[in-house]
Amino acid sequence: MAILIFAVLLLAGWLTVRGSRRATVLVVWTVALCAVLAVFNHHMAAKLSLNF
Amino acid sequence: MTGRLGFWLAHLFVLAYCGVLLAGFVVQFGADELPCPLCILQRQAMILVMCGPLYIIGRARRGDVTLADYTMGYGMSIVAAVVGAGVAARQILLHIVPPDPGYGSAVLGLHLYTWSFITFCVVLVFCGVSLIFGRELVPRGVRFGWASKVVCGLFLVIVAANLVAVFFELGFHWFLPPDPTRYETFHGLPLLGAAAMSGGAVG
Repeated sequence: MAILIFAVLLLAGWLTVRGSRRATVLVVWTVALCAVLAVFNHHMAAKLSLNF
Repeated sequence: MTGRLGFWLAHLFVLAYCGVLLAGFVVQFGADELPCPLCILQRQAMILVMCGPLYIIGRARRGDVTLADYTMGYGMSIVAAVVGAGVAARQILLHIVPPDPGYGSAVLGLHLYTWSFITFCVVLVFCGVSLIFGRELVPRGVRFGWASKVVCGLFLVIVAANLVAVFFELGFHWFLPPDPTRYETFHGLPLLGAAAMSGGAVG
C-alpha cells in the first residue's frame, strides 16, 4: 500500500511541478491524501484503539 | 520586491523539507533504523505538504501566479500538515508513558516523530503568516528558472528514492509490520538465502 501511495505522490509531484491545471493537481493530491488517511485508520484500528 | 520574496520563500520551504526527508534517510541507512508504518505515513504527509509550495512554483511556468494559486498552494500545505501532525501526535502518545524508551534513537534529545510534529507545527505557522500577507507575497514578475528546476528535480528524486526504499522494506507485502526488523525484499530473495546457506556450510 505504501508503495502505491508513493507512486501516486510521485505522479502528483510531477503534475504539480509541470504547472498542470488546478483541478488535475487537486484530484491526484486528494487521492493521495485519502489513501494516507485510510492507511492511518488501518494502523489506528490494528495497534491500539483510543477512547475519546 | 515582496512578490519575489514570496516566490523564493516557496523554494526555501521545499528545500527545508527536502532536508528533513534526507535526514530521515541518513538515520535509516546510516544508523540502520528501519522506519515504522507511522514514520512512513509522516514522510508521505511531508511530501503532500511540499506539493503546496511546488504548485506555486510550477504555476510560474504558465506566467504570473495569481492570488488564487497562492492561496490554494498554502491551503493544500495546511490540510496535509494537519494530517501529518495527527499521525505524529498518535506516535508520540503511543510512546509517551515512561519507561517506554520510544521508537528508534533520539536526535538532539527528541525522537524523530517529535521532530516531525514540530516541523508540521512550523508549517502551519508559516502558511498562516504567508496567507495573512498573501496580497503582498503573491509572486509577480518571476520566471521558472534554473533554481526552480533544481528544487523541483530534488523533490522528484527524493520521492522516487522513498518509493524504492519503501519497496525494499515492504517487499511484496500489503502492509508494513508495526515494528519492522528487516528489509523484506532482500530477505525473500532465494539467491541471498542460498549464499547464506553455503556460507554457513563453509563456516
